[in-house]
This record gives sequence, C-alpha cells and structure tokens, in this order.
Amino acid sequence: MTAALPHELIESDAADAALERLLVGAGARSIHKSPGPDWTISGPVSRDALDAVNEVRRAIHDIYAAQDEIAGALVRSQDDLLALRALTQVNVGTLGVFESFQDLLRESRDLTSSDVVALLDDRLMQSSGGRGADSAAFAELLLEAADVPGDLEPRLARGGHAVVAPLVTPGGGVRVLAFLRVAGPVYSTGDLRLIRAAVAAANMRFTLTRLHLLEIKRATFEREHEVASSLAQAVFSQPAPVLAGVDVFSDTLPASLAGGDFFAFAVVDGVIWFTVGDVAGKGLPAAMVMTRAVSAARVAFLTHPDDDAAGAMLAMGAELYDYLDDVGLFITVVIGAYRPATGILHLCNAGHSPVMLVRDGAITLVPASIPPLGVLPAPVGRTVRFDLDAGDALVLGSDGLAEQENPRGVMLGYDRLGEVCAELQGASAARLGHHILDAVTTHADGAPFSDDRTLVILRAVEMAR
Amino acid sequence: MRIRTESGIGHTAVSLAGRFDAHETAAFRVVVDALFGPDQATVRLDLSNVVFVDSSALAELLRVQKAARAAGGEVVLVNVSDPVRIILELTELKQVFTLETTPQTASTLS
Repeated sequence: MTAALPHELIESDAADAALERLLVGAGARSIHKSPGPDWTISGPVSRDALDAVNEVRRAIHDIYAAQDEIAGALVRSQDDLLALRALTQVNVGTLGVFESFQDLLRESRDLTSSDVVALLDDRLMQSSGGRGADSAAFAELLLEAADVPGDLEPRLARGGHAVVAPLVTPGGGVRVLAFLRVAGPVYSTGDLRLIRAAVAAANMRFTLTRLHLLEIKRATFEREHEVASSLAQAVFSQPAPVLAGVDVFSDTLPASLAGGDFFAFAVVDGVIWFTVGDVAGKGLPAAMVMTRAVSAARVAFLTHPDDDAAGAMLAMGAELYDYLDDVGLFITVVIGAYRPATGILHLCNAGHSPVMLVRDGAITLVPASIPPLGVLPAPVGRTVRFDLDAGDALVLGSDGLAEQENPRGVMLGYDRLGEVCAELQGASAARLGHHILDAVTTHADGAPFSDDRTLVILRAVEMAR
Repeated sequence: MRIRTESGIGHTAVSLAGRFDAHETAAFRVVVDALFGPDQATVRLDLSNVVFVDSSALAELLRVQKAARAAGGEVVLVNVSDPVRIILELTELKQVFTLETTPQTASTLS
C-alpha cells in the first residue's frame, strides 16, 4: 500500500505558463523547454533573467517534490497506524493463544514490511511469512536469535536485513521476535520504532495470556475451595437429634465458606452425647481439622459411659494430639452427655467458652478444666455433673458470638452474652437460640462477622409419662 | 499490631501493642523466629498493650512455646493485659505459659 516516491520532476503547468509569459514579455522569441529543470531561450533576454526564471522553476519543482514526499510519508504513516491498530486488535479480538500469536506475527510482518517474522522461546517457534520462511538466511537468523544478550533492545542482524527483538520474560528464559527481509532494504531507524511497537504488542499479548491463565487457575481453585468447603460443612447436614426429655437447638455459620467451629450429637442408650468446639484459625484449613475432630468425637461418644465425659475428652485429645501438633493448631472443645430420664448432665470442658447453664434466669459458667486439645498429649480433664430440672438450659457457643464487634469496634462481650442467654425464661431451645443469634446480629449493626458463630442449646423438658 | 524487640545479654524481650489476630501472626513469626539461637531459647513477650487476641494468635504463642521448650527455654508472658488474661483463663492456657508481672516502664510501648 505504500506509495512510490516520484523520481522525476513534477511539472507545474500553471507556474510554467506564467514564467513563459514573463520571458516573452522580456523579449524572448522562442523558448526551448528541455526535459530537465532548465530552459534555454533565443531573443534579447538577459542571462540573469533566464537564470532567475530557471531558479524559480527549480524552487517550484522542489516544493512540488517535497509535497509529494510528504504525501507519501503521510500515506505510509497512515498504513503504519492501520497496521498498529490491527496489531492491538489482535489482543482484544482473539481468545485462542495460538491463533492470537499467529495474528500478531502476521500484523507485525505487515507493519514492518518484513518477509518473515518469527517468535521463539524455550519451547516453541512460530513464524508468519511465505517468501523467505524456508531460506537459509531465516534458519541462520533463528540460530542467531536464540543467542540473546541481557538487554531488551532490538538489535540489527545479518547486515541490517534482520532484527532480533527480545521480549519481557517474567519467569526467565529466552523469548524473542525475529524480523527478516530476505532481499529488501535494510531496517531503518523508523523500522526499529515500528518493531518496538510490535514488541510492545507481543509483550501485552503475553501479559494478557498470563493473566487469562491465572484467572482460569484462580476460578478453578475457587471452585475446588467451594466444593471442599461444602464437603466440610456437610457434617452439619444431619437434623438435630430427637430424644424424649430434651429440646435441642443447633446452628453454625462460618465467617467464610467453611470454618473451624463444629458440633456433633449422638443418641446412645437413652443418652444424648454432644460436643461443641472451635478449631483455632479460620476458613478451609480449620474446617479440614474440624471434620477430623467431629469423627474423633463420635468415636468417643460410642466408647465411653455417659458419666465419663473426661474419659471421652481424653480419648479425643489423644487421638488428635499428634495431628494437631504437626499442623500447629488446637481445638477448644466441650463434651457432654445428658440422660433425660435422670436429668443428669456430665460435662468436660477443654478450653472452650462460652459454656453456660441457664437456670431460673441465672447463669452458671462451666469453666475449662484443661487447655484446648492439641496442647497436652494426654489431656486429663475433670467431669462436672449437673442435675437438671425441666426448663434448665445448657448454652454452648463459640467465641465468635461474644467477640462479635459492632461498627465502632466494640465487642458484644461475655457479660452481655450471658444476660441475653438468661432472657426468655421458659422459651423453647429454638426460640432462645434465635433470640441469642438475633442479639449478636443486632449488636453487629451491619459490621461483618469476623469469626465463625456456633450455638447449641439443650433444654431439659418434662418427659411424657 | 506493633512489634518491638529489645535484646540484652542472655535475654530478649518482645513488646506487642494492638490487636494480635490472624492478620498479625505472620509478622510476629518472622520477628520471633529470628530471635531463637544457640544461646537464646527464652523469649519474654510483653503483652501489656495487647487489646485483643484470637485463636490464631493463641495458636502462634503455643507454637513459639513448643519451639522454645524444645530448645530448652520457654516463653514468658509479661504483664498480660486484661483482655489477654481473660482469654488465657477461659481457655486454661495460662497453665501452659509462665506469666510474670513487672513494673511497666521501658517495656511498655508508647
């Protein structure tokens, strides 16, 4: 598309006619118009006048020649702009990696008036071009292109008929664009500017490709995270146990997709076993530990008498100690067993809070007797016993309840949580549970939940006679 | 959270100030792990200006305690603030650490 430069003088009929009239007026009888810039005349016209006319003609011809040169340059510039635009469109118009680089090489070839443009890196070589692609010069250029110096400046090769332009390689290694004109003119300074534009477009293409692949990887990871979280949280999918003489409420809400809070139940021979715990940390790592803790607790439920909560705790702690020690985590946990027929509740608390017994509007805290599981290899705790009357409620929460902050950074606090738990005397476990969770949400006042929230309530009720 | 270290002959003291939670454990680990050496197995942590600790921070303190004891030393918690003391009591973790009260002078962060 580039216009050819004029090599002959461009005639200007109007200017020549005016000059001819001038010479005739000055006495010229005939004017011989030679093919070159200068005229000769016959007649009484001074030599100075003829020289002046020829000088004017040459000046006019120079102006026209310059005008044509500028027009040619504008056409070339327009061509380059169109080629640059096509180069940038490669980045937005093509999704396939191979196709996009083929398009990029083709547009780079057109932009730089090259016969062949090739992309080389450690693993692959792509080229675009017909004439010259099979030439020995191209093969030699490829060998030369592989030997890239440290800087990123394009460099001339093969006597100026080739350019090797390194690309940015964030991960190290070699990546270059190689341009070749088999028999055409050597690459000029202007060509190098265009080559830099092609290099910039190629770098952008690689960056977009890398970001695209990262996005795919991130989306895949996110999906796997969601699936793993769902699997972890599935331990809570079982409905609350039903046993005459006890009214149960349970709810857990992780701060993210999954969390380290847990609860579990089992009804064994007229006894409801339960555990509520909190794995240190948050998110999926804590959730993975949590699922193992639930499994250990369920085994402990089945292998201990209901008056030996401390024994169940010891078994659970011994089972988990090495694992928790390896991963550097601990679990606060409370284990208990309630036999509605007798109203006897046994509990063992390993570093967990809050654990509260609500009776007649008063709160009794059940403190921990040992540190959380994972701290001691053989956690020998203490079993505490309570004799429940109908209406008494055991409230087991996680620290995410009391430590929930409002937008001003003020936590709900254990004292206020205890007050809320003591409200609604005589209410069902579910009503009291929702009352407590609503109080936490009200306190948060729109502030995000920074920790998992778990609440389990066991309320003694009259057994049917 | 701000972390300041003071080293003397045979002992090192670390002062913490602010919230010590999951977001701060990585920075804490970098500072404290660098303190342990052949002649340095005991670290004193001034917690007088810590306003909050979460379970991740407690787990990090336990990790340091285990590392210190494995090296023949220990972690001494100095002048624990009320919020930290309450958590240590609720979790019974106070029995895992040596707690010490000293006059709060140079070790207090301003």
